Amino acid sequence: MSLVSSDAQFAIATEADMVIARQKGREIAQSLGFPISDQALIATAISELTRNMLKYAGRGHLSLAVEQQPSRKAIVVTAVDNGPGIADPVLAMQDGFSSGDGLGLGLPGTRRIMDDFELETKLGEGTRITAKKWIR
Amino acid sequence: MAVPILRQGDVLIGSIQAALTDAEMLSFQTELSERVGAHRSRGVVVDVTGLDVIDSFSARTLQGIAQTVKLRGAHTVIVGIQPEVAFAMVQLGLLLDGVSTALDLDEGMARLKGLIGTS
Amino acid sequence: MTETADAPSALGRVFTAAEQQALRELWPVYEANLGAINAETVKAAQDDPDLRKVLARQTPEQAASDQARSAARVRQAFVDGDWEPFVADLKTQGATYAQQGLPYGAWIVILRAAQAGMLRQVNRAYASDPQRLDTVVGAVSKFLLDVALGTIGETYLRTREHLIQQQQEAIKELSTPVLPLRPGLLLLPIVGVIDTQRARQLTEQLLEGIRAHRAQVVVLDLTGVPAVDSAVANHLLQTVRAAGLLGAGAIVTGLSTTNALTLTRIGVDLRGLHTCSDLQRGIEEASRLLTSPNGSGDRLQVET
Repeated sequence: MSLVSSDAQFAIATEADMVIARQKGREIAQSLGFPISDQALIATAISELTRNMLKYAGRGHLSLAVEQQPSRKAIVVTAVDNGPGIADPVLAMQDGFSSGDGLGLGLPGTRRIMDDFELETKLGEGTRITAKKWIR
Repeated sequence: MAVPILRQGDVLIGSIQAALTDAEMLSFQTELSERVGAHRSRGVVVDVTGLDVIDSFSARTLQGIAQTVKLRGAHTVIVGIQPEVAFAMVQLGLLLDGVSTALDLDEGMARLKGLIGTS
Repeated sequence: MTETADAPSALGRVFTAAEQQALRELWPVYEANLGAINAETVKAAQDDPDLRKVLARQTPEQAASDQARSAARVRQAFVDGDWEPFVADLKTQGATYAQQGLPYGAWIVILRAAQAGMLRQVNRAYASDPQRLDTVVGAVSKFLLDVALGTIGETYLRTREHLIQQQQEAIKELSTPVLPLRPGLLLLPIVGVIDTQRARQLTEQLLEGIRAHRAQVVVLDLTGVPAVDSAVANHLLQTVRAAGLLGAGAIVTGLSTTNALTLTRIGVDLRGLHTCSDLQRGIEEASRLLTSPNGSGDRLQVET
């Protein structure tokens, strides 16, 4: 049985929004009992995802939720934007891929640090990324 | 100015207190570069104790600062990366290639002494 | 200890409407014969060595007050259909006694005695009405087995898992000490199998040690690690890199030539990783680097 609760929704349009979102992410992670190192990972993952949103789509939406199962729970991070979408998602998930200025390490790195990672993207329509980290 | 920059002899010290916007980071980079030129500083310490998250953008910017400062003839040492931030960076694959790092301001100054060669 | 998100309504669904009604009607019978039922469970408890100890710890006043509170909760469950207080109390008791080491079997002793006591009363009260008797017996069985025993069982499982986890973490903590050898120099002897969780813990402890002791050089000794495969090597590289971000250089010792060759052959890039064949050499090397004129320098940090 899954229960989703503690919804927090953030419109991401500026860098200040990024900071607010990841601080809330850290808070939720802490309240779920994640160790400090995991809190940092989660905050960094949120930072990467929201930054990508700002860079490629100009703006987007981030939601934070808690998924509860009988023996474990997770923080669920969902990043949605209506930007250009990712032309080659497979390539984007490969380490070392760069599509903007710089290293473009965001996605593969984020997938590495989160437990579950789902990427949905459509050219011209946008991108949706759902990432979860579990704790017993 | 978002990031206060102090001067101690040959060394400039910039303390990043909290998350900076892209614009603030760039302005910090420019400011440092100008000051290194103006004072002929030989070393720069960038204190990032106040950063609770260093993502790929921040890491690239820090590297950019080190490169810019180097072009002006000075060495850079980044100090104050928190243990859990270091852990996250390494997990994410952010390595700060070619950038010196030290534990804190004291260690950073000592490292610079070593790099610069004189006291 | 975390609780599941079971809503009270989930418990209510265990009983059919007829069964809940039967329990409602049973309450007066239960209440009237509570003394006899409790006496039966107490007797069974006295005969059980583990339970006897638990009973011995209670004063008669405490026992009486516990029984009264328990009766109130059962009343809420039977008559009001509100099972939450009863189940919540069982979870608390279960967790407490599980932690104290009371065997799960002890609970079966108690519930079996309660069942015998209750069914005796039920049989007497409903002897003339076999259909009602059938429903009541079903309801009582569900009460004792599904609700009571089921709750206790789940609680025991959860508590055991939690305890085991705690013990494992304590063992891990003990087995990866970070030793300050001299000012600025830390030794981290690594022993045993390194999985992701241990590697993470190792890294956390090392980084915290670097911060606390202001270490500039750390020696990671792998002598006690039997299998160094690519996964372990990657963990190691991550640890060394993270230490580097805190300004500490690392020397890896105890990596046998065989292991090193294997790693190179499977493509792990050990370049930039400062290694020494044995621990003694490694410590000497580390001390040398600490006292050299350039301080720890950039040489020690892993280049990629």
